[in-house]
Amino acid sequence: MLEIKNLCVSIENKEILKNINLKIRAGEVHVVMGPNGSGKSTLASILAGKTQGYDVTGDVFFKEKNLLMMSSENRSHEGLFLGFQYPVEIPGVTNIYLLKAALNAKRKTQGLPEVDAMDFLKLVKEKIRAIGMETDFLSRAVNAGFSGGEKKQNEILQMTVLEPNLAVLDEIDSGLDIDALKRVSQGITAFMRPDRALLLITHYQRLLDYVKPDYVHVLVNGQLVKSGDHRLAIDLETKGYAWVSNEK
Amino acid sequence: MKNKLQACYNLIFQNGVWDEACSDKLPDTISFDVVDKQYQIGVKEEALFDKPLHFIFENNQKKEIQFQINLNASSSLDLIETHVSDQGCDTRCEIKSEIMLASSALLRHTRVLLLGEQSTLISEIEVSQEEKSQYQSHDFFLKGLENQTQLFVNLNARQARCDLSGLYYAKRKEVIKNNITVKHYSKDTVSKTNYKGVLDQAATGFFQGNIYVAADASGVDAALKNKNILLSREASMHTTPQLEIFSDDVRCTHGATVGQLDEQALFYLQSRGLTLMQARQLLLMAFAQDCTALLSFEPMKQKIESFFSEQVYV
Repeated sequence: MLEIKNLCVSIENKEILKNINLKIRAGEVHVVMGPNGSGKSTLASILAGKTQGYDVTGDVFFKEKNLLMMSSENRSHEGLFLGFQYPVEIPGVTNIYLLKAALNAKRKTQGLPEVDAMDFLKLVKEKIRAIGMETDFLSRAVNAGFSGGEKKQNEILQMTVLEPNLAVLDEIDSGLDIDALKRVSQGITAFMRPDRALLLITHYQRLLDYVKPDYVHVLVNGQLVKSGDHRLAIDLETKGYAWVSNEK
Repeated sequence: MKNKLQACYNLIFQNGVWDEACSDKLPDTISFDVVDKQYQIGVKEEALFDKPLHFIFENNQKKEIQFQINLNASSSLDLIETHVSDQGCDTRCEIKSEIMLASSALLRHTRVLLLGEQSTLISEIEVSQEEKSQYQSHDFFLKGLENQTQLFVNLNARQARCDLSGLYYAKRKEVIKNNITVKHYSKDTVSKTNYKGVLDQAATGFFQGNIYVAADASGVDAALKNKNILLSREASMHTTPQLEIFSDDVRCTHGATVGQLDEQALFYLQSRGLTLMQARQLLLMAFAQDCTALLSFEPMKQKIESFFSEQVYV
């Protein structure tokens, strides 16, 4: 579904990502772990189409199409979703308005008519209940005044409504209490199907107690230095990132 | 008459002259006279109305118009002004309004400017407020070559309150000037001023906001805000909020910002499938929202929201 080949990213001549190669097939859950400043969030932003200030070389194919040539919105329409580490607050726009605008933008590219307001409300209420959130969430302004946990749950709600093929979730587990972590994990588990894939970016192993990865990759100083199965995450939790750097 | 609004008492002024034949009949509790070329509107004590009074100014000449509006004690009025002129007509209209609010009177004053490209409107509004009266002003300056407004509000007696909001949008070489002065002469008076602007292309904006608190006016609560978004490098905004405070026991805040649309918010919306244009329009609508949300008269609210969603940034 996603193939990253020799991806290099720099900003003002400073290399942030160095020669990244990664292949994600449908049905797989991949995790990228790494210390602060290793380039994890840059990788997520580049995949979602952030271009400003970045110098990018290499290739990224999504569903066999050249991802780097697409605008952010086209990537979304094609079925790629980025869950932000810091979701943006937009006072004055309600959640339901944004969800409907986003879904209709996607439907338009698929040649489908705009979703009827009543049908949409029914659909979104089903989705919101399925991930254990209150429906009054919908009438609140996008992320404005939300707690850290609410913002992350809102990202999961958007993902659930947009039904992407590949979700890249950037530190979706940071700032969550135990209950919120459970709800977010439920949302992620419900999202996974054989025709979908996940790329989780995280610092911690605790999310992986709920969502079992097929592959774990370690990113240090912009390079993928080690890959393995879910046991690698457990080793990292006990031994720290220095262990991987030293081993290298 | 295309600018008439249903569910309003419409009064039409063609080139500054009252068009009696086209205007609606007013209820008995409101008087309307012309004295020395000044239009005088009086609202009886405790009068309430089932619908707003709507002044429509269709001006295609150089004109001066004067108004005096008196609201007697405990009366309440919604007054909407729509200013329009023909496209391409080189017009200049000067309008002076004196507004007097007796104790516990309430005036909601909405002004909507949708002028032609060559039209200038110069407004001078002076409001005098007595005890517990409320003046709510909502200005929407959406089109026109030049708009200059001087608004003076005198809070003369205890617990008088004014809420002044403005939303302006300008493009081409349009000029918008707002000069707002609120004078707190009495104790426990409140003023909340919030003006927001969007300037595109080579438009220029000026905002001068002044709050004055007299020496013996304690318990005053005043806030003055002006926020602006510039959509082009050629657009410019000059904003100066000023406080002159001669009393110790007051709560006064002021703030002004001039900036661009948030790049990270644009990226966030695009990553959800919105085009750059849709994302910009959504952020601008959100920016305008705290001004448009104040409009209680739904048809006018819809008119302004659709202007923002259809015409701004297109």
